[in-house]
Amino acid sequence: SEMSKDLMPGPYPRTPEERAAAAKKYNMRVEDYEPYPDDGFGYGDYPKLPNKSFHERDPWYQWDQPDMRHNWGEPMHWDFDMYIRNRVDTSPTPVPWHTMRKHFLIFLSTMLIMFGLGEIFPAYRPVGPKQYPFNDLYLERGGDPNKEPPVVTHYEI
Amino acid sequence: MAAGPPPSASEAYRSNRFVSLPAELDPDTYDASLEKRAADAERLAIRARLKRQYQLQLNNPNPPAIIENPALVRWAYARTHNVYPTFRPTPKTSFLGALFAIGPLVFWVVAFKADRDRKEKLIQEGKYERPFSVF
Repeated sequence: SEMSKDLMPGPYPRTPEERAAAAKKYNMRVEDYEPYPDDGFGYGDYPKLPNKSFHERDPWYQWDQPDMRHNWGEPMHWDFDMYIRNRVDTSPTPVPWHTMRKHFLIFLSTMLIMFGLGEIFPAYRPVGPKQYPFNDLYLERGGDPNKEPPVVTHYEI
Repeated sequence: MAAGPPPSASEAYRSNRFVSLPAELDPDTYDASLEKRAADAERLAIRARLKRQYQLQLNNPNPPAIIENPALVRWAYARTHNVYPTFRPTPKTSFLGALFAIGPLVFWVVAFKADRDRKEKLIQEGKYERPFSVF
């Protein structure tokens, strides 16, 4: 694009001067700037912002982009497109997350165990073999129409 | 033996990876030190400078055709063009790459082949019962 190379993201900053320059490039304070750890994953010097979705941002402040709740020039999170208001929501839940997880796992395991037990020990009303009409479907099964079909009775009186 | 007292709100509501703490339980809300206020003032100064730049361009009598957002350009560049130059094969990346790229492929190839071989053997021996038979 038209922006110069030193305004674009680059490799991981190694010296404090590079960190200061990167913080200035991304419009952040030097103390706030924290790049992703240099694990070779491809993040480069992009800052590691807190993982908070845009649901948590003040709805009453006058953002430059109100639908995105984002200001012009503000450093964008790496997962910006995940944290928009149509998608992932990290706002605090009414019920603690650990309580929710515990209740969900209890419910899921109970249901799965009961389904498993139902498979091992099935319980249903007695059934017999299926009875077909028309002499046990003699013509449909390819019986000769000229011959007399064998009489099939499924009942005893 | 009676159970202990129920967990307090802050014990129940521990920090976790997926949702943020509510403001009332977050110790940062109650931190009114001078350093925090100075840091907030600096952040506000940066934000005000950027807002001024944006508003000047927006309310310009001859506005430019597009007001380009350099943060957006950098974000797009970092996620597309900057990944390959900064990628480095390390034990962690090689392991993850093998696990997610080669693992499923090999797994499904082996699974389908084994299933097909077993079915073929049953058909050859004549023991295979055809499902979905009308009769």
